[in-house]
Amino acid sequence: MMDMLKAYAHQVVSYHPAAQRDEEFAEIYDSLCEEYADQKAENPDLGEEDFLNANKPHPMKYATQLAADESAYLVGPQFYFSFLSSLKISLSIVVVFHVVIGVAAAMASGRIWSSFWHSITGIPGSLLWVGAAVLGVFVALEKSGEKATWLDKWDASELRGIEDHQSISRGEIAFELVFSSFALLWLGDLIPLPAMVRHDGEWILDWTVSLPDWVWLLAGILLVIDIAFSIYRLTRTLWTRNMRLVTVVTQLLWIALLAFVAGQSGFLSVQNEEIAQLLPILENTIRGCLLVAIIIIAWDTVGHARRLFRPAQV
Amino acid sequence: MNSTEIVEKLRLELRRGALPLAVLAQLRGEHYGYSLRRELNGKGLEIDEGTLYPLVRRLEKQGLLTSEWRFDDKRKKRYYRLSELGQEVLTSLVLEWRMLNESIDKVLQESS
Repeated sequence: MMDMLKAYAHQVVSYHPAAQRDEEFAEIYDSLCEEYADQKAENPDLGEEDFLNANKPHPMKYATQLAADESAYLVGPQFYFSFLSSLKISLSIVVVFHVVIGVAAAMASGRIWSSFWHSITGIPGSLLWVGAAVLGVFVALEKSGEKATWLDKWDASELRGIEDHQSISRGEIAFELVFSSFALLWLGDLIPLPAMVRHDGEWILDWTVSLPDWVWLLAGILLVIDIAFSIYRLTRTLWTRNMRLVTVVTQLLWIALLAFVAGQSGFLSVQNEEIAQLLPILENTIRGCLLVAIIIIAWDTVGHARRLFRPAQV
Repeated sequence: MNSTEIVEKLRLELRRGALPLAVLAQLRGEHYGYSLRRELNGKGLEIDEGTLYPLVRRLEKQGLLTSEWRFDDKRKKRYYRLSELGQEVLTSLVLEWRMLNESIDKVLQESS
């Protein structure tokens, strides 16, 4: 039989830092079991689901009550750790992105320090944009939480859809949120891509990517979906079948889109003909990166699909 | 805000202030979370876990309580008990509570 009390306790502690989850879980689960046993002694027909509906608030609300004595949060307890994690990942992604571009530029130009420095100086600007986007998302979440009537309309039957307490990795959500925000800001021209390559004293500044309009449109839509889905998962934290289904569908669309782009030839162009001879190398590098991304996404998709077709055990 | 809501708010504040004293006093004997809550509820002090657990954790951090994990009924339970420091603090608080009670009673009798 499904242990709804255990599922509830797991859901509650999943909003708290990993280091304190085990002890909190033991204490909450024990308390739930005892309270349920007391009520069941008076009402033998009482099911766990009815008990939770009658006595317990939404797990997120309960987790917030339990964290009420913690020191001040920039955002509320339920999002605090995700917020910090997102900021750390933002910093990592932006730095890695600029370092990779910097190294590529340095190797292609032969002017190692000036090329590298040119890319590194772009970090604060990119970080500011991505940080602002992440902060905006979390502040919006926090503000909406104050009016979140859906927390009061919570029903314990939601716990039935949870797959053997599989926690969604906070790091995974934060990475997707930051990466998608970064990509969307770049797509919207809010973050300029650093000048690609310096060759014989000239920067490739006039490079253009020629892809059909629908590719950009679909990429934009998928990025918006990824951001919205990451935000949704921040409020859930345990996997459900529907969440896995959405993940599989969106990731299949990403694989198809990236495969299409990787299959295109001559999608990069520059006006300077002397520099144009470098473009095949750049295109192949991008194609290689896309293939690596496709393999990673496909691997993750297979993992989700396998769990989707496996019977749930709670 | 009507008078019922105001009374309810002030009543909660009044009870919240007295809860640490009640918890410390109850933990002169050993209790785990739910048994502590049940004892307090049985004595007319209704308290939910969302209030009790953060309070107990805070008191433990302040060194007023000690805790120990034990297996009981196939589940892990955390047993709390008053520490030596807690005993000292409780004695002072009980004295303070009695003096406060006396003073408030005097004020109430005069005004009635």
